[in-house]
Amino acid sequence: MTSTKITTEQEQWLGIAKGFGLSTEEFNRLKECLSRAPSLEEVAVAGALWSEHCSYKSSRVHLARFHTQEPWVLQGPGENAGIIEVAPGVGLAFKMESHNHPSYIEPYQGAATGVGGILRDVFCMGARPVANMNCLRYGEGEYNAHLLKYTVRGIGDYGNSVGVPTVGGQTKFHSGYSKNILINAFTAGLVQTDAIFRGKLNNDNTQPVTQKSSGLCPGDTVVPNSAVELFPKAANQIIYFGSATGRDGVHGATMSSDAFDDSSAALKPTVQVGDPFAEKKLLEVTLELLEKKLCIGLQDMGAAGLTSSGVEMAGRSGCGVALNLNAIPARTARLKPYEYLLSESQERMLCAVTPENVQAVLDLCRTHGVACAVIGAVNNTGEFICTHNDLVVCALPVDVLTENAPKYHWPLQDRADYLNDHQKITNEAKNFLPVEKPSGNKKSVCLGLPDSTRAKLAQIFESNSELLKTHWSELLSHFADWCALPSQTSKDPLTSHYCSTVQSNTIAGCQTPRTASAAVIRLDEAFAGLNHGTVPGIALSAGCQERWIEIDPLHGASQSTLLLARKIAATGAQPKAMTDCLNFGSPRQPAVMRQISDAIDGINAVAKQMKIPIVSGNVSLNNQTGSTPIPPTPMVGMVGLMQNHEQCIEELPALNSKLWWIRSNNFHKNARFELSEWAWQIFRSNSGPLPAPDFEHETALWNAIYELRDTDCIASCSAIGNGGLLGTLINHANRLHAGFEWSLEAEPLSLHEICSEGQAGMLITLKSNSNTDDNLASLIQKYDLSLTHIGKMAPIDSLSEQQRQYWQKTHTAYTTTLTPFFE
Amino acid sequence: MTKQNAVILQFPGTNCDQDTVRWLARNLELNVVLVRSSEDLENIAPAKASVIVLPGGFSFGDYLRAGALAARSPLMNWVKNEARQGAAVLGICNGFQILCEAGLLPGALTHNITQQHVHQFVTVHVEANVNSPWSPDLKHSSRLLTLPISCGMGNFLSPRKRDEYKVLFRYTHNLLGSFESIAGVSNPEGNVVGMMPHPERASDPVLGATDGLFILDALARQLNLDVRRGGPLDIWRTITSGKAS
Repeated sequence: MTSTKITTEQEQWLGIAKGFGLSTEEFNRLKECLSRAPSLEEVAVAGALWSEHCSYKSSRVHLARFHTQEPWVLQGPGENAGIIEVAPGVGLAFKMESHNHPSYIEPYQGAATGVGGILRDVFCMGARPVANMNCLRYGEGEYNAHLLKYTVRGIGDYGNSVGVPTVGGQTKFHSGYSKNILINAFTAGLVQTDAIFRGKLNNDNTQPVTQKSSGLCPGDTVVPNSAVELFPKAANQIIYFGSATGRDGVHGATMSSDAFDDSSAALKPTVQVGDPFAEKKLLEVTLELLEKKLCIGLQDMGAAGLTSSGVEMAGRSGCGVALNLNAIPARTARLKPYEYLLSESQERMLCAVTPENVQAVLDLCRTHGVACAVIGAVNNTGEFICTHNDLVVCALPVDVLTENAPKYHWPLQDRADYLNDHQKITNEAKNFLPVEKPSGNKKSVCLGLPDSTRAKLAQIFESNSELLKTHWSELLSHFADWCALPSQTSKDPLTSHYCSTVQSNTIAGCQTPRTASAAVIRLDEAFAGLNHGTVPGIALSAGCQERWIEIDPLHGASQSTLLLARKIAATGAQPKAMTDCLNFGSPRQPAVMRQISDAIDGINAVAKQMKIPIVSGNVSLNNQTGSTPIPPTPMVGMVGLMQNHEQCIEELPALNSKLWWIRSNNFHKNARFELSEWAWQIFRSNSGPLPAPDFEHETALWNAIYELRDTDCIASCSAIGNGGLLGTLINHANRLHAGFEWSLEAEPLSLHEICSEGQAGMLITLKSNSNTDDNLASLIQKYDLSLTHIGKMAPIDSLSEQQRQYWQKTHTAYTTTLTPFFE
Repeated sequence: MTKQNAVILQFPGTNCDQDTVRWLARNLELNVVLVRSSEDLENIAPAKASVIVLPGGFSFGDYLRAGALAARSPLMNWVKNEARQGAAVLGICNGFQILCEAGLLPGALTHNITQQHVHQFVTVHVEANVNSPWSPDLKHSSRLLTLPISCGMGNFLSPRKRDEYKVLFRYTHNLLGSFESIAGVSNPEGNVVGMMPHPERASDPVLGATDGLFILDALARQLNLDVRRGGPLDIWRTITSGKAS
């Protein structure tokens, strides 16, 4: 016998609202705003636009604090991408976005469409994409091995097809991401400053007209020639172009904003499917439309598709918009009105066009083989009106969806309590590297050192003698295991999926002959032509140090952002601006809210102090499964500028060159062993306090590098990153297929010192012809820094038999660990 | 002297067109024309092309097979005709795939044995005794070139007959699984060449890669082309001839 459940109408509606992502309070708020009951379509529209993904409802009050303006900023937050000036008359548009939830459900398409979405955000502003980066986080176990393989393929295949080089980024592993991986994609594009396009519906010189409500309600019939003109012929027309609309991605925005539970597999049909060939055609037609100045405004249909682009453009222009859903090119018959509205089919654009240009736009789309249709018009109702079969299905005031969207001031945990709770964080990884190579085909991501190695390393680090000299050969014997850790090992097996050289402007990036501490591209000839004299170079870095941020989100985020800036400074470029992608758990947890708020302030401190404004960004919340959030991961993508691309400084030192370690003379305060990857692996924990950023020494360090660059003295420079000085040396030795030999001067250094992370300085070598060792010493004094000649990268054949064997084992572990994951 | 004509073909989805245009225009005194459609062919293409390059990319999204749709486009009839009359034709990466699909070169290209896209700088060995406008003169070098590959379908399958082709380049490490490690082949006449590596991306000292210039150097000598003053090839020639003497 089946039991009949009796529900009231109100309960039914609340159930529907919940299905579209609206809470009971939000549903009631919508009803109040409208002073009537909403239609199904209106609930769908509000659900999508009030989602975290579109409205930033939980983070907005904090994002407002960001430092966003400097003289070189041409477009700050609020548009599809931020833009800075990189040469007279040339802007660089860039942004980073997350595609975490879809990629966990369907890794290949999820990651691919993430790349597609961020590309569209950049080219819909009129910018030609010139560089992609990606920041990836994975956890441990077999499913993460699967996710790793297919997300990397998806990212590669999409970016490669469109012809945009993937030049850099950061891939790391931490058990806290096992059930919530992060896929953040970054795109930068070049645009002439007089050809920047924005997502609006009317010309800037259009006089604002008082908006008058249509008085229409869902269910009303559209009467031709009625008093309210929904589709005025003389007004700007709304044209849809790109791929046809299907059911894919319906509910994407609400799904992306939800925490996972066990039923997540059932969400698979909501993931979008990408078609990079369609994207390439869309890119070419969009740039041609903009170049010919055929449209007024343009926006891609990203999360929440047509709904978000239509409403956001209307919101920015202070006008109303009416769409006839029947006019939308569809690839499935009998789409429901709400499906048209929420579909996240990829490779689609919406633009506003003056009546006289409509035909030209349609013609151009047809020559490029891109579907297009006039689907609506701008009007003076101040409402987002949709009709279907001549009936009104949605008539929502635009401001209800935009400015008046809910804003939440979720409670924050007290900072002192947070710091107390996170004074010590523990490495929870459960999968350890096997001592022997595993047999069979099952691949599994292992994040911990074998117990025996860990015990031996712990013994070394806890011994009475701290001195490096005493322990070097034993330490060396464990580097092979260290280099088999996924976060430390070579990422070449991943990056070989990404084409980094297309467009022939990549000076340094993944898999290029030259190296630099950050990715460096030169300004494309088509844009460089505008600028007489030298051709500038653009340096790009991206990433996040989640372990530091978990201990102290404020100082941790500052230190993490400073590290990215240091990488840019080490190429000889000046950091200029950044974009962020804030990945956190649920804002309903006060500890997570503390992380969000403090991380924003931490990034902002660097933005203000070092004049690196935040010009665009994205927030991804609810990255958690059950009640366990991911480690706080405010990913930052940073852009720097060098006046002359030929001045780009190499990252890897030449063999046998004297290596100098430059750092602040307050090193022991600015960097700590307890924050390092070594402590995380050997003692399976990190602990606070996190040093507050020392901007003075940091600035001095960068200025010293710039001076060495300008006097043509510097041969190589790298920012010290993961694993501190020692980790960086091992990394360089691996990439050079060399060994490392300490100098006598380095012997008093302690083990903890060379493993410390934080503001850990840079490694440089000088040009041999410049006789500058003495000059370097005086320069260091001038900038009040500290200097040690630490040794040299030594050719493998020049080493003793035992050392050579250890290094060769290390190189093998470094180069081969990730290869099997992609077979 | 009037400049000789070079035509670069761009199909929908081709994405190395600008790189290739600049590769030729920066280095050689050529009249370089980008042709995208049959109308372009009628309106802007020169009456006679000395050089034709099919750049890399994903023409028609690699639908069906890489290069299959482009090979059957009207533009390729024109290429076949010009090739018959002796034009120097080079297909790079997707261009190589198109030439094979169009029957201008024997063999076929299929998925890499790794079953993944591979982007990497590789070393290729230049085979001797191929009389082709694209075959580097290697008096001054080790006959090894370092060039990037970037492809998902770079695995060259064996042609039916030996006399259908000549081998120009072989990989020193056969990453993709090509028949006889082949990285580049020509037709028996030598004027039509296909190669998987991208010489146009390795022709600039600032990018740390200049071996692609060997190929332009060969072309300039064979077709009697003037080298553009102050361009990378001009500077490179001065340096390499200095080394030789």
